Amino acid sequence: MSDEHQHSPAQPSEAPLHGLLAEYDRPEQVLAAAKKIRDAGFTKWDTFTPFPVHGIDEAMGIKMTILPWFTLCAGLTGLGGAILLQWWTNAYDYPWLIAGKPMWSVPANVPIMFELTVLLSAITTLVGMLMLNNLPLPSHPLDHVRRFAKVSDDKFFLLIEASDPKFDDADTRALLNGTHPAAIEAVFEDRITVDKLPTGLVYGLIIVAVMAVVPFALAAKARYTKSSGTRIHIIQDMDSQPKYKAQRENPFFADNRATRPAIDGTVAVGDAREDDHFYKGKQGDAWARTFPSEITLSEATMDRGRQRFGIYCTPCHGQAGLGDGMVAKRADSLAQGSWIPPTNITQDYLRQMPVGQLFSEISNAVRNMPAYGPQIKTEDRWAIIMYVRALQRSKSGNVNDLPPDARASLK
Amino acid sequence: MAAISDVNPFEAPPKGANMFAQITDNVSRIAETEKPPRAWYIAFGFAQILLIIFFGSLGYVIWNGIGVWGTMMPVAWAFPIVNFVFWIGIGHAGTLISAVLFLFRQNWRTAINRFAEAMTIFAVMCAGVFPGVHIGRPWLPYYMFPIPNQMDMWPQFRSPLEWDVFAVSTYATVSILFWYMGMIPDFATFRDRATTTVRRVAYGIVAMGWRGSSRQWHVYERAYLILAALATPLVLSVHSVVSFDFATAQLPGWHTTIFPPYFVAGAIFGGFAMVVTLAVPARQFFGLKRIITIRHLELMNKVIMATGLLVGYAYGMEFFIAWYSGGKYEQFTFINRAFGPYAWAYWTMISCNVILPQLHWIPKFRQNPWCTLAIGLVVNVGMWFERFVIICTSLSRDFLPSSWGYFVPTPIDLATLGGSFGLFFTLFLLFCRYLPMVAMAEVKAFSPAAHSHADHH
Amino acid sequence: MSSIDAKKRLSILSNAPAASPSSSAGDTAKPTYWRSLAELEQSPEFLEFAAREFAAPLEQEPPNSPGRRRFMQIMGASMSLAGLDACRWREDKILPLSRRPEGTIPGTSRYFATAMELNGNAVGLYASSYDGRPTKIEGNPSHPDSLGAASAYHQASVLGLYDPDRSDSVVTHAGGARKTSSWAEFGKVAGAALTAQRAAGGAGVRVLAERSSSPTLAEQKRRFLAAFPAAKWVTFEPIANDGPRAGSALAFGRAHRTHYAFEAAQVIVTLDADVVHPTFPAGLANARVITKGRAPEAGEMSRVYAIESAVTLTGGISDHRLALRSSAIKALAAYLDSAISAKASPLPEFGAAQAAPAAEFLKDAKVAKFVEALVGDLLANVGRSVIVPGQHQPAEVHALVHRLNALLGNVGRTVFYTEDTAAEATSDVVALKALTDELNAGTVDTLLILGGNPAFTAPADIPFADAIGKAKNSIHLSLYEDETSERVGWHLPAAHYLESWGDAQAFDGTLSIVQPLIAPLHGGKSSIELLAMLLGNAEPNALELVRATHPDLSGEHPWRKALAAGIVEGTAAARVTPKLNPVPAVTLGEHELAGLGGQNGKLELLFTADPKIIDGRFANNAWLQELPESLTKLTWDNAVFISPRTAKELGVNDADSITVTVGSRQVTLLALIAPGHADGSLRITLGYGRKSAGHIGGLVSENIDPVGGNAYLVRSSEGYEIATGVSVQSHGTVNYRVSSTQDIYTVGDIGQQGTQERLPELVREGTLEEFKKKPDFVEEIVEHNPLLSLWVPPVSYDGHKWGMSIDLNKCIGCSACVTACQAENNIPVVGKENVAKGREMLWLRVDRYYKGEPEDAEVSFQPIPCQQCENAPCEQVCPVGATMHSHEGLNDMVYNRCIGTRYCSNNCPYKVRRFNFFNYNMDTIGITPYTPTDDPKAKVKAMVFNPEVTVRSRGVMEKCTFCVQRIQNVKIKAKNVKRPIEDGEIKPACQQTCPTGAIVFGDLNDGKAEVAGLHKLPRSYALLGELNNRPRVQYLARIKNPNPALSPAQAPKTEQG
Repeated sequence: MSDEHQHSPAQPSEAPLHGLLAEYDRPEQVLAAAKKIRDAGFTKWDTFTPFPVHGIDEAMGIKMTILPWFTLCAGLTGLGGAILLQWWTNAYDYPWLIAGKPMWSVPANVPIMFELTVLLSAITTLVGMLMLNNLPLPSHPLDHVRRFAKVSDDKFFLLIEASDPKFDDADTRALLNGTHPAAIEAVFEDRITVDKLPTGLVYGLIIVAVMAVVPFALAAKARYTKSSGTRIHIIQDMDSQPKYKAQRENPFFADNRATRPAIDGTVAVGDAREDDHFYKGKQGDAWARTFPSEITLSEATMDRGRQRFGIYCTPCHGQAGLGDGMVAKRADSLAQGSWIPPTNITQDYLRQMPVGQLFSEISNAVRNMPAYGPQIKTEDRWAIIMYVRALQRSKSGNVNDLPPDARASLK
Repeated sequence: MAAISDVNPFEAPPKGANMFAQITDNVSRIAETEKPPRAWYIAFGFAQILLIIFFGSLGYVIWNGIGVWGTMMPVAWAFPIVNFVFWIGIGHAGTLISAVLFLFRQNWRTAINRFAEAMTIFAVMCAGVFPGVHIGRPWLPYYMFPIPNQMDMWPQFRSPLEWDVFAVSTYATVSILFWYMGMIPDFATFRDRATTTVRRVAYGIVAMGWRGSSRQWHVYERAYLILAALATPLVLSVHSVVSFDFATAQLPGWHTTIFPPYFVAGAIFGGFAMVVTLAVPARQFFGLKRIITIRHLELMNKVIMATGLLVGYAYGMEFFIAWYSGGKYEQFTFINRAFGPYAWAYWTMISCNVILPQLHWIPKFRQNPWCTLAIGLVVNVGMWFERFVIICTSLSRDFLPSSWGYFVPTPIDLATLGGSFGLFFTLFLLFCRYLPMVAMAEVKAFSPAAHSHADHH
Repeated sequence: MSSIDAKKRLSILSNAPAASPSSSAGDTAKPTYWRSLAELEQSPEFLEFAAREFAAPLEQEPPNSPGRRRFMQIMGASMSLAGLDACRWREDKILPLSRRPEGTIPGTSRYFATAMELNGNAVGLYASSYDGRPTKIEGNPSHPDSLGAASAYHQASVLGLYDPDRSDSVVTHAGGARKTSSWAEFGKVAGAALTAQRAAGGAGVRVLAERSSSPTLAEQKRRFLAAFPAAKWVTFEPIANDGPRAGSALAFGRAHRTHYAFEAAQVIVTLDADVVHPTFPAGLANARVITKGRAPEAGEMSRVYAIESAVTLTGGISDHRLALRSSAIKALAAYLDSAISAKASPLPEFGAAQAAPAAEFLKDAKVAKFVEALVGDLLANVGRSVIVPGQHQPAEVHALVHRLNALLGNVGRTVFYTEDTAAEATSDVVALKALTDELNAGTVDTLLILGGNPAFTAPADIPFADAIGKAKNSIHLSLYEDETSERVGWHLPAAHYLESWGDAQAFDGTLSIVQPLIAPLHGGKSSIELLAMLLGNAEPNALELVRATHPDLSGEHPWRKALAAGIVEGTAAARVTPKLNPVPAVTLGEHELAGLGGQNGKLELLFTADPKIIDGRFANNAWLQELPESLTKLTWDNAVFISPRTAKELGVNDADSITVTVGSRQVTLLALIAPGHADGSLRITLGYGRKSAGHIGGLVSENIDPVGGNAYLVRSSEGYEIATGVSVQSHGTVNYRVSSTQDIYTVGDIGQQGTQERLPELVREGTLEEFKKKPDFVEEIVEHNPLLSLWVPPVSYDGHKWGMSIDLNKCIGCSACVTACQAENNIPVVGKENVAKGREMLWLRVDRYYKGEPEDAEVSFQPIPCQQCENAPCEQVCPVGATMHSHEGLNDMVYNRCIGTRYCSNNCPYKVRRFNFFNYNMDTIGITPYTPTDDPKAKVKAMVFNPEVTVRSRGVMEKCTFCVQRIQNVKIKAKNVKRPIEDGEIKPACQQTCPTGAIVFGDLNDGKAEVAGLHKLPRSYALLGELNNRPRVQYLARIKNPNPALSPAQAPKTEQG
């Protein structure tokens, strides 16, 4: 009897009984024992073996596991996910024209469907196995039974838990004795394993956790603090290219400009400008009094003229050309002597002025009005003049200038 | 160290000695012993040097651009992809042995499946390095993963390379799961035999509190079966998908439908060759002669011979197809393969893969570990050249003669190739040192003693 | 170790004389180029071959090896990170002009007409100006010598403008050491020297100038000589040009220029003349006209006979080609004269005909048959034929040809003459000799050298280089500090033609005004300005000088008109019909009379201007150095061309290093066995082996080896164009990689067989008869299953449908398109070592195939851009979708998506994709993302980039885009004014520059588009169309017009050798 009560020294004797453990040397012994216990109708018991003993399942009456169903579901999920992924990315979200193939063609997508199916099934199988075996299981009363260490080597064990309704210390022990065990030992509840992690481990985990936060913290800092420099960009690839787009910087030149001024006197191809009337507003040596042949007197030209006038002229000359543009008004309000007010373009002398001269002044500046030659296309300048003429007329005209029907409507 | 293997764990236990204990002891001691054999240290040192060369060369490549390799136009894929396919091929035997042979109830597999699986995983790791570094901008491989980004850029799923990404990563994951799951009970053994706290905690963690309960065994066996069932088609698919890289291309010499089976056969061929290459020294130096017996070697040699014949058939069939197709370019490619500038590579491949393995018809030969080792090495060389021939020869001479070229490797190419073996052996030697090299639980389960009760009724 | 090897190899190699067996002893590596030919006869066992192949080039070029340093001269730091700053996003500043000049819009480019002069002939050009910087050169369609075309070296002149090696300061060697000085300083010194000379009327003043057609320069010359009546003005050009002058003097009593109206010619005979090459007077125009007359659709085709030693572009397009020593041409011409005079009964004042020469080679059956057929054809086409002599042929040949053309009634029909007012009295060589003697006699006080590089290009027997120092003051105006500048007292930086005002004349005299596109980058001055300066005008204004020269353009309108058009109408010289003098009986030496072939010691050596770097003036232009030479596809090198048979007789193997001995002079160079080359003849191109060209062309002072070998070392004033009595000694192979872009390695018997088998399918050819009988004969060349697609294409390209047609009948293989593409698309230069590895980046390549036996191989060219397949194989294999299809059918590359798997290239049947194995573009410029970019030289160089095209970086795949930026520009332009795009409005760079209009681009959906019509032609075919890639580029089969009397011997059907 005494040898049956040999607890591990650390085991506090007041610990409640967990169950009875029988040890066997050979698999067939535990198999036979298992049959006995099963027939005896115990429910809370188990056998422990170094390897899966053949036939132990029916011997113990273990029911078929549901694991395969987990796997099946996972597999179907993988399959569906693969189809969805490929359809969404290549056919829906960002459809591509690739090698004259349809946006969505199943054959090309089969391999990945297969792979994802297998992947999810496999992972689920392992995880499922661990779950169903409620692993990982850090501690167990048996851990404190010395002889039980042999379970992973060459010994076979059978444990009947005390919580089993049919468990009775004496009877059960007798029953076990009947199975010719090498030894029988009482197993007590685990009172030794403190269910808190070793401090070292705890600190380790804390440190790891803190480290894990650092990168995110840095990212957040970088994101929410202002920096004088441009953003960090280690691998530049083609993000900055050694070419000079329009108006870029090039320190090779004194003015740091990559844009070079045109050489005086050069003429671009097709820029011969042989028509003085059109380009200079001159006929012979006199200012042209008519519009050049390139400009047709038409609604379209007039509209173009109004539009351009609105863009370039109104700021100073005002919508009606009376010289009361916003700039002028502002200048007046500031009342600084230096300001030369913009001309009222409906004045008489301007109405008498040949179109050619108007054109020339618009093109080459007059008084403090800058030259608009570079900014406004030649035909547009002529269109503006056409509109200016209209404005002038509208100021000086009388009712007879209106077409008959319009006149009628006035009355 | 040889001492512990003097007792044959497969015989009925001598008096006083328990057979299960013998198995446990044989395998565990390798990991428990204070000092591994000198051979281990020599091998490990050598592997370290190669490993340094590997990372050195890769660093050089990434810093300067892949132009430091011999890769050129038209041979835009050369060593890196050859190495990739080579290693992926190696990575087949493991899962095949454990999964397929398991399904076919080939119990002899238990002696070798564990480190075959390890080999698989390490080979796949080596393979995995290459696609990443061979690209022109090695800092952007994530463009190939379906990650939403500012360019609204998704991968292009019609591309076989994209299939590779999924196939290889899936294969790696599943192989690792399979391997780890197989090791759980053995980790438990290590844990229970642990003499130091560190070992107990370390192995305890990875053993996840496995206690060999029969109810756990039940689920465990079921899970193992499912994984095996999943891994089997996977193993076949991986190299098929890799072969699509070539089969779906338009290039004469690549564009052929027999590639998938041909590649799979080649992979098993090369994989088994690698297994024997590793098994022979392992059993020699770690005293596993009694666990990995001559019988096992012989069986593997037979597999090698069978798959070798398959591969040889494929070589012949390629020529037949070329001739039968009547395609001018296809025909030229194969004549050029055998007699063109790369003929030396072609004939190296033929002699290594088809001719020399025939020696295994002689029983004395296939039962001799050292001949086994020799043939294993030869086949490995041959299989590397097979990939070289397929990739470089076909690329070097395609449609327009004006753009033919001749690829010549640079020292960096060779360093990268040699170095990858450094990674492989480093990992493998560490495995031998610290992990259960043989699936103890399984060996026990299939040992005669485990079934002796059958005699009783 | 590898880089050391590389260094050693390089030093062995690049200065050719060192490439002797001693220096290369122990090197087992064999050069691989051209082995193909060797193997036509005997092929080595592949195993030892493999051993050899792997033995040598295992060493590889580290990115900063000497080889690559050639480009990275200005990027010493580029391999090291330039601080964290370089790892930040780079800011771009925008600096707009405060006052924008009229007519300019930032970001848009305008064309300015200008002209580039070479050897006294100007070609009118359009230079596009982007933000006031010239970025691209095109031909001027209204210029008679351009007709819209530009050659490779015209295209490359932009790179020359931005060459950081250009001289940027006045340099003086007064007092021995090199000192940088200033124009003012020079002005003082020169002024003093000249005022001293005025007293003596400038008796001690000598001017040595390049040949120039500039009236303004002529005017300056006149004034200068007026100021210094006793001074002498000497013109020297190293390029062959004395034959025409002396020949016409012989025939007509004075110098005339000969102009050919090929459009009116039914039979075109070239005697060693490459009439379609840009270096030939009006060559670009000739190419256009001749190929125009060879369109089979017209029914009639002209027939071209080429009799020449080296294979020329003209030989390439000819219907019949006779390989004949250049020195035998004279006898042949004499024979033609005798034969034709016999039948044609010439007018008495033409004088007596030549006696039929007793030449050995004429007895050869093949030659006899050829000549007989030729004579027959000429007599059958009286007044509709034309005979053209080569520029380097002696005067007598030219005289005889003048007579022949007269006999055949071609003068006034296909041949026209104009007075050559610019011609000097003596040949350049004689003039230079005289000058050198004066220098040595010490009678020269002030020597003014206007351009050129006479110290390098002078004949070997005229010690001009050493004589320069004898002058008290020597002044040299040039773009670079070259071999001549080193020897003069004063080196002056010259202005590039894109930097200076000037004027120039086409070959027919048509005047063009040379407009500057940008102010001189380095304060250079043009010859005009320098002369004005020396005549006392301290601040000369070139524009005024030019205008002053042309009073009839004085008005504003004529002047603007001239500038806008790029030519002045009606300034072509008047055509004259000079009276033909009797041509005295020609003297024929043994070389002229010898048979075909020629044993060692009796060989001839032909010196010709290099097609790419001419006389060496463009040696520092990387685009030209890397441009594959039309026939050999050789880059970064020159070589001695030998015919296969002669090489065998001499025991010379391909790519052997051989020493060529002319009289007492020797040069050691690489031998290239050139199929179709005439037996007994050698050819070297001039201009290589420069020691002070620059970092590209060779700069010994900075340990950058010269490129190629210097042929001037053996070019003496006798045998100036064609040296005879030449002997050759082979040193066997040296460890030297020839960098060529085709046949880069042993092709072998199998390769040759395979090539010859598929050639008829790739380059489809037929004769005019075949074509007339069966216009769609090309269809039957390849038979394949019906091209069914598995898919219904997801798009119907109903908008624009861009396509291209390339006419193989028009392509002459001049490769101008290749450089045009390089200039337009920022295509990097990779350097010799990388070309040798097949890593050249050219988006457009011109494939050259030899057909038949090497002795008289037929050449055919095939330009290969990206075929823009509708079912593009490259697209489906890209895992990141970096290449995909636009809805206009363009196969787009998305550079910033590309991660460089290179799978697309593997799957491209045409292998048109190019990969940035290194950071080529930025390395060669000297800017990498990690180097601060304030290096002024880098800044200059970077200005050559087309701002509208991405500058690709390392690890990215690239390829032809059909110049998508041009397509977009036109689309935008059309959209702005809401009008449809007109056909021909969009021109890719290749089409725009093509001299023959072989390339046509357009919208296949536009029924009226030219390209749509061409695609419908029966002889239009898709390359490898049987793969069902549905390429958008189609080729027009080549049609030849052989003389029935000579076929089938040379009919294209006998190719399968």
